[in-house]
Amino acid sequence: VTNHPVRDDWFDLVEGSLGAADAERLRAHAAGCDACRAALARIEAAHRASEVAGHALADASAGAEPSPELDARVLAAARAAKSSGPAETRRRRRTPGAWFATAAALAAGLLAVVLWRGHGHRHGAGPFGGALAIVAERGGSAGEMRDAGPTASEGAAVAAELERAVADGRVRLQTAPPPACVAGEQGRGALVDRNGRIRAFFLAVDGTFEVHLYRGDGRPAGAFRIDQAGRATRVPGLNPDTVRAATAGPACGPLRDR
Amino acid sequence: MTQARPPVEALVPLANRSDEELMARWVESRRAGRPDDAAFETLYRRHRSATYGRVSAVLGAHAAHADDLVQETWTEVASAEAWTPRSFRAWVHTIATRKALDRIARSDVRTAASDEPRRDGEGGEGRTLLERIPSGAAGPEHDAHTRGVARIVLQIVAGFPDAQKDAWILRFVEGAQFHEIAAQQQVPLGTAKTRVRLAVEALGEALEQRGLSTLREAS
Repeated sequence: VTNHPVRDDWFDLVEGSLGAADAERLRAHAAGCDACRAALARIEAAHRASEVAGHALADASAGAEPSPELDARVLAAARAAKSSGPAETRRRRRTPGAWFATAAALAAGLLAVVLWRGHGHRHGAGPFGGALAIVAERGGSAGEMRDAGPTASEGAAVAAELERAVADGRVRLQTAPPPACVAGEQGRGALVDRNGRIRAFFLAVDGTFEVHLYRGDGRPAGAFRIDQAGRATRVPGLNPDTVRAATAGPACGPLRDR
Repeated sequence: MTQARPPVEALVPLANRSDEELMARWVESRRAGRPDDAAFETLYRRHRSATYGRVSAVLGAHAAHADDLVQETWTEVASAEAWTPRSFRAWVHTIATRKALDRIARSDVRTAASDEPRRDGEGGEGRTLLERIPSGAAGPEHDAHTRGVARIVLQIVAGFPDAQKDAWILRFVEGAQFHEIAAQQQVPLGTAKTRVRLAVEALGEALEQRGLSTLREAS
């Protein structure tokens, strides 16, 4: 079996952050693998283009001078901003306590303890990751993810989409307090969408992560284990007979079957 | 009884204070209801040319929008609700760049046809636009071509999510290291790196779709 490098490897290579031996190994692999050679060429081109554009932009930024009229406008706008600023600030800012209270209230929506029926669910037309992204972007509502049952082959897409969703700021990774439990284990963090709905949470398992995914109505949709290379596989121990899915709240109340 | 002297810190002139100190002072003074206009104006005077230049450079032929975007940038600075220690310079430049990119992404500002770089088979001797930029070369043709590459890259980057866009700006325009991007965006190092990687990957796909990414010489 050929072990293809992962995307991080190619990026590290073009960033020049790999050691000579690792870089040589990757280039040797790319030389004999059409798909990897194409991937490397694509990211090299994009990296080079980014450098060219970045330098051009930085160089072109020198020497311009705003007009005195603009100076006056900016300073006047700043003075205007200050008059309404503090009051708005007080209205908009949410304290951590308020956030956790909101999160806890929303987490209560997940209190229904259900058996995970992943093997029995039909699988939807689109990748689960895409559905998750859509739900996260739209704020989510019950039923939107009803056809989003993931298959094992979609695991990589799930992992990638979760990664993108966090990186893009579409969902946030919330840490303490643990918002959910699975089989008595405390979650390490949860993906919470912009409306405060929990979409997934993580468990550390032997140096890897388990990602447990929820539908819009709060029911578990499946679980994947993601190794350190970013590969996702269905969690082998989780099946309808052994998994008692999720309860919610910091205290992780007793698990119940449904 | 001796009169209480002001703390030494208060005697340091504004001109001798760091950007970050001035920004903290501005935010705190606003919060206290006594805005320190002098602190804000000192910041603005230091960075006015750079932010104006950056916005103008991104907008290219559409620099008429520069005044509005510079004002928007500094209004965002003035309205900041909090300030956490990081590079003020990189922060304000990123805001200015992002606003200009957002303007590019909108339908009312499009890249002028003359800005577009030539593609393969359009006089480029079968090479890609990237290959036709010799490192260290100079001259009008080189400059024009570089501007063309930059223009098309900026158009693509303009469509990225804000977090990725900012990470890309910090990495490739501001020249920040990943740990500096993480500090600037207040995210873990891995997240900062992922944001840059995703931006580069997305750029690669977009360039490929436009037929601009092949690095091989045409036979």
